This record gives sequence, C-alpha cells and structure tokens, in this order.
Amino acid sequence: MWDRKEKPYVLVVFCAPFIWLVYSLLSGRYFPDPAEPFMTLSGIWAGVFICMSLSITPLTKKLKALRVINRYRRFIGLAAFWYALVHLLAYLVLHAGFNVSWIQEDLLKRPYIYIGVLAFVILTALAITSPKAMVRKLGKRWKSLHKLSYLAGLAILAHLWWQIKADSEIALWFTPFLVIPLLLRINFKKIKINVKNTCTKSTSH
Amino acid sequence: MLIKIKKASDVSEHQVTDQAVYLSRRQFMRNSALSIAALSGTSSVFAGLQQGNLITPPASLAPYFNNIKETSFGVGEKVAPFDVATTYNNFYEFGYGKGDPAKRAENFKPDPWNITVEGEADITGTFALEDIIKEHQLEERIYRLRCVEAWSMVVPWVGISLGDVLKKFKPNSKAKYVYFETLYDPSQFPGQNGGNIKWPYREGLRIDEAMNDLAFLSVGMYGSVLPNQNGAPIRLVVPWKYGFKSIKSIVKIRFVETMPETTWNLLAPQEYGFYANVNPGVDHPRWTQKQERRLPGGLLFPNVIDTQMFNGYQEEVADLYKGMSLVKNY
Repeated sequence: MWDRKEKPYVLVVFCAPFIWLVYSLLSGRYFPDPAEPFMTLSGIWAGVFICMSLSITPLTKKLKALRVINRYRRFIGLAAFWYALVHLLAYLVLHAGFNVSWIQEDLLKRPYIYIGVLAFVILTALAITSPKAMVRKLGKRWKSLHKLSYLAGLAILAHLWWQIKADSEIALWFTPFLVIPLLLRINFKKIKINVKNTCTKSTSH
Repeated sequence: MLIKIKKASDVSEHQVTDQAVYLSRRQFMRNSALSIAALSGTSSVFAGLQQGNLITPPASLAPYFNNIKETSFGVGEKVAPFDVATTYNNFYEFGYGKGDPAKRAENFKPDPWNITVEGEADITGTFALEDIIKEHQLEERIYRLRCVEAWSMVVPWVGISLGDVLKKFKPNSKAKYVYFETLYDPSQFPGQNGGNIKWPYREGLRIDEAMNDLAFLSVGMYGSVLPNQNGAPIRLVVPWKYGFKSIKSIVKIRFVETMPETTWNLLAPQEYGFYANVNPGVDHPRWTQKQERRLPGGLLFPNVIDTQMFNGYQEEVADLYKGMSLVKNY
C-alpha cells in the first residue's frame, strides 16, 4: 500500500486532528464537560472524510487531473470510519459515561442517535471489506455493497438536521457536500422515465 | 433542643467533598497541560480563577455584599469550582458555544442598571438595581442547576427571594403570571445580531411559582457580584426548573393576566414547555432526561447521576402542581 513517497505525509495529515483531539482531552482543554466539544469535533472530522469519500467518484470522473486522489480512496474511507468510531466512543464514554440505561434509552427512542448508529454500522461493514483480499473475494458484490456509502451519507444528513437546537450552522455547512455528490451519482435518465409515468397516472384522475 | 428534620433535597455527609479537593483537582489538570508550570510549582497564573469570585462590587452595591446572610439551602452540596461555573455557560446573547460568554462578556456594562416594572401591580415604574435590593438583606443559597441538555452543577448564588421583591410592587388580583425580559442591546450582546431566536430573551412564571420560597433573584455568586457571563447584574434562579427558565440580565418585569410567551417555547414548542420543570419521567423528544452529568466530572469519565423529580426539590414545590398533568404541561 505504501508504494508512493507522499503516503506517510498524507497519513500524518489524516491523523493530526485525532492527535489534537486526544491531546486536548487529556490536557483538560475541554474541561469541565468534554462530551460536547469532543463529540462535535470528532463528528465534524468524520463528516469531512465522508464528504471527501463521496466526492471522489464524481470529481475524478469530471476532472481527470484529480485522478491522483483515487490512490487514497480506501485511505479516506478508512479515515471516515476511524473518526466515526472515535465519535461513537466519545458518546459512549464522555457523554453517557457508559451508563447502560442512558445508552439504552437513547438507542430505543432517539431517531437521530439510531440513524447515526446506522451510518456507523455501514461504515464498519465498508471498513471490514476494504482490504484487497476482500475486494477480490466479493467480486461484483463489493461494488454494490460499497454503494451503501451513499446511504450512510443520507443517514448522516438526517443525523445532523435531527439534533439541531438553535444553531444549524454545522448542518448547513455539511448539507451541500453530502447532497451534491449524491445527486451527481443519480442516473437521471432512468428516473425521468419513472417520473413521466407517475405524472400521467396522477393527472388522469 | 433543635431537631433537624432532613429534607430529601438535603444531601448526606458522604456525598460531600470539600471544595478545596475540587479546586486542587482542577489545578492538577491545568498543570498537566502546562507541565513546566507543574514542575516548577508555579500555577499562580490561574490562582485568580481558582480562589473564588474576586470581582469587586460597584460602589452602589458594595455595602450589601458586605453583609450576606448564610442560609441552609444546599448546605453540604459539592459546589462547582468558580472557574467551571464561569466558563461553561449557555448564554446565547454572547454566542452558541459554552465558552463564548466568558470570552465575549468583557465589555458588557452591568452598572448602572435599571429595571422596568409594569403591568398588573399598584407600584410600577423604572427602578435602579440598588433601589430594588436595598430593602432586603442579601442571602447565599446553594442550588443545583439542571440544564435541559442533561448536565448540571451546584452554584452558591447570592440574592434575594423573588417573592419578597415582587410583593413590594403590590401585584393586583389580575396578576396571574409574571413575565421577565433580558436586555436587548446587540452592541453589548453580539449574539443578538441574527440567529433563529426572537430577541429579547423572554421568560415567565406563574405567580404562585414566583412567590414560592425557592424562587430567587440572584445578583451574585461565590460571595460577590455576578460575572457578566452568568447574567449580570441580576438574574432569576428557579432550581426546580430547567436552566433556561432562569433568565439572565433582567431589564423588565411585567405582571400579566395570561400565560406569557417564553423564548424556548416560541422556538420549539413541542420540545420546551412553559413549565419546564425538571422531570426524569418526561423525556426531551430527542434525548432522555433520566440522567445527567454533574459537572465537573473526571478527565475521561463524567459523573453521571440520576435526575431527581423537580431537581430534588419535591418537598418545596410539588404542591404547586397538584392535579396537573406534568406530561401535558412539560
């Protein structure tokens, strides 16, 4: 995997936010309630890598000069998974203090939390199936499995908008970066036909 | 012989931690961030933050702060360190972040301060803050503050019973509710430039809630005046309700006949009711209210405790809501 010279530097760049988060946490920077800043920041970084990951296909298709990014496809996806894992752990430990009834309540009743968990489950499945051996093993099914990343994108969108109190800034920032790559991937030719059909149906009565 | 009957809201001895222990823990954490300072033993940079409230009261209020009556409210509670209570605030007038109020409140001017009293009362008009408090002796009350976001802390407030203040204005029989308003001044409150909130911040209480002995008008904390970020110079403290009911930097008190509009209720009525009593049995639509993180917690593990009905003040306030559905009137 490490055949290119710049790869170690890219690794450092991808890890830097994580190192900063952990350093800040352990040094008391997020005191007295590290849950909120740590969850927000780890969530933002997970979101950044997911947006990057979703944008690669449409970007490299349109702009050939950017094809070099393809080299980091797997890497960016794994970074998204890693930050999502950190985000989830922050919720479990810093927010809920491993309090079983607190976590249970949230999982059963809070749509924005279980939709976040859904996104995490998808990212986990994609991370597990990311090694080359798994790609070979799954063959054609690998591609369809990894299209679930778009579903994860949608789940994250819901996760963001569903939890707003008064400040919608983060959700607003992420929305175009999640929605545009999705729209670019939709095959509109196919959909147009369906739309036509439904239109004639609905006007006929 | 004095027989002390323990109220449920009193804490037992084993729950008590000396404030000094908390302060030293905080100091340890700061020092671990600044290992050089820790090694040389010079943590004096933060000494001011740790020693309590060092703000000097303005001349108009100073005499009252020299004579603060101690009370039995919250005796033995673990009080949050001063710098925790003053750097972790929800005060959207200064910004959405918990640290924004402490950073942006520097230029706020709490002195001189006037409060307008209007509506269904015999005595109305505009009063200077010192005129409102001069007839009362300031007292200290240690209260638990439970935020609707499921964190809480214990704060030693200085102030006057709200009911005692309101009675002086002689509210008439039409005064069924009392409405409060925060200062509107975007030049001092940068957060009031836009956002989803309809400024100024508004809150209200039913008149019997306002007259309850627990309802408190605070003009100070930790022995001196309120820091700007905590709602200087005068704020409400209603400890059996979620924190957002305890409106800050009050400039208007109005006695009214009908239930007044309140900021969070206007913003999201299905999530924040007028009553907003602390109630572990009624969840916020998007999170549970059964537990809370008592601040400050540890470095990694929060201090998660069960939330009590009326924030543990059942004996004092439960009568106010007899026969009322607290599920409907959340």
